[in-house]
Amino acid sequence: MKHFFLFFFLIFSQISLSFGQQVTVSGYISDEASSEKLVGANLFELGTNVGISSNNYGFYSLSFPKSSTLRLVCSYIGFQTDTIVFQALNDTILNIELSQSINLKTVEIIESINGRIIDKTQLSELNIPIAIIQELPAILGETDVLKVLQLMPGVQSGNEGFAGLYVRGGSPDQNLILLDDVPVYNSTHVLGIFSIFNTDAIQNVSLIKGGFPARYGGRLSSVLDIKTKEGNLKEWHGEGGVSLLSSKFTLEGPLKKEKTAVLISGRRSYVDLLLKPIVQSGDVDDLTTYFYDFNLKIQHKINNKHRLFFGVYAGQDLLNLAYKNDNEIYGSGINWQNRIGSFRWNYQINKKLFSNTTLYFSQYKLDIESYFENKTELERIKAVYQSGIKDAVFKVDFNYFPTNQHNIKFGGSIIRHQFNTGALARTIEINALNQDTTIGTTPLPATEYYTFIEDDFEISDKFSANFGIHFSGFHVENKNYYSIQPRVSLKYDLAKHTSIKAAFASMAQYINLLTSESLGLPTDLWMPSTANVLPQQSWQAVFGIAHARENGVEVSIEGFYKNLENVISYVEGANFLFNLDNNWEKQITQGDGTVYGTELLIQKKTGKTTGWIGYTLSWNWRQFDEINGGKRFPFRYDRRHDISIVCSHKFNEKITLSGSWIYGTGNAISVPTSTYSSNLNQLRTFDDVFLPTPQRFVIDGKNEFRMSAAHRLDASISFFKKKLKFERKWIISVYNVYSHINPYFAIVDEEFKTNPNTGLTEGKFLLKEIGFLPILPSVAYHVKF
Amino acid sequence: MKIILNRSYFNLFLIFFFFASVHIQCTNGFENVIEINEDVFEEKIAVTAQLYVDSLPSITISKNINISNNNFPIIEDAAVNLISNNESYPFEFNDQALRYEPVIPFDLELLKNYELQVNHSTLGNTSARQQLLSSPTEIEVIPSTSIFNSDSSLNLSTEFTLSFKDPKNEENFYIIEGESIGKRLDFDLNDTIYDRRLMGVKSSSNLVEFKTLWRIYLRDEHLDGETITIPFYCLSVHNTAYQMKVNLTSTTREGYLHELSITKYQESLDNPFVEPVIIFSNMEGGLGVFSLNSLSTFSFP
Repeated sequence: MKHFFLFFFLIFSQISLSFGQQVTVSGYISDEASSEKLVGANLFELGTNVGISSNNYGFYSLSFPKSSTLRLVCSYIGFQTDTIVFQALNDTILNIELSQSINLKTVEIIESINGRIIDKTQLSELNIPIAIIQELPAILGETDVLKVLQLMPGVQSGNEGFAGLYVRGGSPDQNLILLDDVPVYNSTHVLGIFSIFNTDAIQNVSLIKGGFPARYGGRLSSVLDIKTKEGNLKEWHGEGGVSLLSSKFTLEGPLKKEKTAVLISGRRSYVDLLLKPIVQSGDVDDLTTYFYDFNLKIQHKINNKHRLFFGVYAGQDLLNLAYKNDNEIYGSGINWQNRIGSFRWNYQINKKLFSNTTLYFSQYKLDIESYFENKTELERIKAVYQSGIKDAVFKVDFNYFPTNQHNIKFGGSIIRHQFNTGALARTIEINALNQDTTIGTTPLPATEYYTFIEDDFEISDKFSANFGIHFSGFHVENKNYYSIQPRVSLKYDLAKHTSIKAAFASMAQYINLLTSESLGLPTDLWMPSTANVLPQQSWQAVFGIAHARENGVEVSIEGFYKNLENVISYVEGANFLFNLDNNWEKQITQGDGTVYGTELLIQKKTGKTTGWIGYTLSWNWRQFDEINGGKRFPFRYDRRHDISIVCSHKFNEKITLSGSWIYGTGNAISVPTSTYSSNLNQLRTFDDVFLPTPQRFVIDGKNEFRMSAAHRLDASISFFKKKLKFERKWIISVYNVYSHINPYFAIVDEEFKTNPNTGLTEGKFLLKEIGFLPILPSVAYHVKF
Repeated sequence: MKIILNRSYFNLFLIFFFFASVHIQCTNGFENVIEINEDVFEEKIAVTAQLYVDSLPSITISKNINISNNNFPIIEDAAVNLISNNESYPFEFNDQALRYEPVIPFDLELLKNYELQVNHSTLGNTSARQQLLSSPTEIEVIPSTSIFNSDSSLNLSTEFTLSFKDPKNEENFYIIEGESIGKRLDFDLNDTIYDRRLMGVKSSSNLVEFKTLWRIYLRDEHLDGETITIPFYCLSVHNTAYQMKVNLTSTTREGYLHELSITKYQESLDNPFVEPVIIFSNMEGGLGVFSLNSLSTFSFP
């Protein structure tokens, strides 16, 4: 650690070296049509080859010798490259506006000099343009950011069809999912099948799997950074779509031209509206099953230096089923929701220093309700199970550009969490006698804080690095935890088209999602580290080689090793939902994990046919003293081989055909494969629940059994047409083209048959894999004006 | 491509595609039976040796078989020996009881270490070690409510208080269980049939480590050598019951973990919210359990 600080000191002392008479060119890079800031746009000077990417807020700053003639080339995915020539006499504010490419459509827009894999110091980063996401086949035509990310190497889906992300062997709670810099605690709808992100409202998606820069912290496995559009400052535009599952719309425009813009986006599913007339004809009194998302964003430009942003996200899922007869109504429901509100202030303090200050509130809440009402007996019984998490946060970060060789980011944040770790409220009303009881845990507050500093450092023409350090702390139940996390990423250009990279990152996580391995539902509970539950920690080392060819094909191979400590699991036999009177800390145990593997990604980014091939070979182990007799076992989503092939072909300006094929080794599960009897005199007495059964089922070990491998082909065809005032697109998709039923879980089921010889009914246990998603054709319509 | 673009061909294709997909769905179904081949699991000797103080030791020996198989094999030709302080107590197969019983009857001795060795020519060898712990003393089970209803029938929801003194300087484990004994006349056999039913037991005591419908599990983790008092009530739906019994089993750590894992496993069978449970075994190289126990039974009336 001492050497690390020394190294840091040397780097920063170099910054103060004088470069003679310099002028600074700084400003924002934005979309000419909407004034939307472009994140990660490339700007470089042709003569000196000095360059930089715009930061998360579209800001850049470069320094040049005074009086030199500059030829600045600015480029960004899907936009026409612009060259600006001028003489650098004084410090200059240069706001650059790029116009969208006219001829480049759909998947072809990823052709750009921007963001070549060999140019980035950052390892293990995936950026997928929204246009690609919108082109690829989707379940019921519902395009989904998370499902497309699952097609990349190192990212797994858990169960087929679900939107959960398992990044390099980590569990879903180890992903820091940021929506406009605000963490989202549950990123899925419909019991995990769809993500909450409406692709029409998204501007940029980035996933980091390893080599995390110091500005990120609080999770062990990945950072998914999603930026929504900021709203068009120039003119009103809109887009919308209809699929078999939902409808959505987005409207954006200026409240005051070039000053204030608003973006409103909404999505709602309508399965319940279609089913309601059918189900209400029977005993079913009510079937409510829907989800919705709502995004609102307002930006206000006070002047060139100050900008304010206000954002709201609200999303909810509701599933309620009620039955009735003449006198009685009984039913149950599940309801989970995310609420996010944020206020952000961008301040360009001077030509080299930029700040972003954020205040936000984030809430995730889960209610499970069960009720019974007898109208004649005047009885009403209701039970509601509630859990959730609330955050209130202050965050400030700075971006400092002292020289062209350094891009320094620093800042900090304080987060006030409040956990509701599960409470059951019962209301019983019988003949005017009322009884209200609440059992379970009381809300648990905690405070998390962090500070960081990192430097993106161009050491030489061939060698670049990102050094950083992240310090975090957590205060809960009069207990304090601290963590110092060094981060290093290095890149060396071996040849014109090839670079080697290496990275090391240490991470700590103070909040945990308790998730059942037997069933992944939103019943999963967010819990803090406490006096008894230690924070999760990890370190990850990555080594990679990247190669980019002139024809747009990029190849990268990365090997990684990740060590996890204090990861959390339920103890065997734990039953969280129905054991609220027990202390939740007694139902969990902490252990270690090891994940290692290799990822290969071959991408073709240009031409009419584009796509990628991803392959991951990995091992994923866990060890808990209280599970599996203390022996190491494979994690449920230990997947030895994971292959994805994604291809898109553009026939002409009107038709694009896309397809994807995936293959993954079967999930590791705990099921009995054999059985024995402890009492040979008492043979099959399984039906008699009043006596202990002598039959013992043998599970060879935790997650020793492999389910069948999963594979699936999806395809879609899109038809574009440009009308006078709008553009429309028909997308016909087929999910699971050859209808291979991929298993979700396996159960031991007893089947009864009559023995023809004895005439007796005999039971036979069978191991069955259960799947849900067969071939699903769908059609979707999208319009943009 | 031109064929696809033709609107009528395309519509026909969509209609065909829709019906084809429905057909495939109906034909394929959503579940798939996995055939468990014999090579998926390793065949092992399965031993159930839960030996009790003051009762005839008996051991069941079998082997594990495919879960879809109904015929549990009886292993008659295993060499079974219980060894303590270089003394060997051989067991032999009793083909009436389908269990192994001692060739020469013997008594288990307090605080003595025993090793159970089971050898078989094809299934291999398995063994486990146990120490016989002291039994609890001063055991009392007192009904807190009347054990009879007003019509003199048995009150099958009686409350009890169980208290006992835990042996000092030992790690002791306890299981509390209730049962009701019924009696009825079988008209076909023209005979009286006695049947036994487990009773539900329930306690809100903080000392309880794990409770199920049928059993209460506790250990002397913070109560070594102290008097342990557990209030609980029994509940039975046995309509021919004439007697209730309360059983207190004192067992070893391994015996406790084995029983606890079986209980948890049974509970997990129909509940998708419960984590999978592996049945605990202390038989090295085999399956099952070797445990040394003492049982105290209290009958009412």
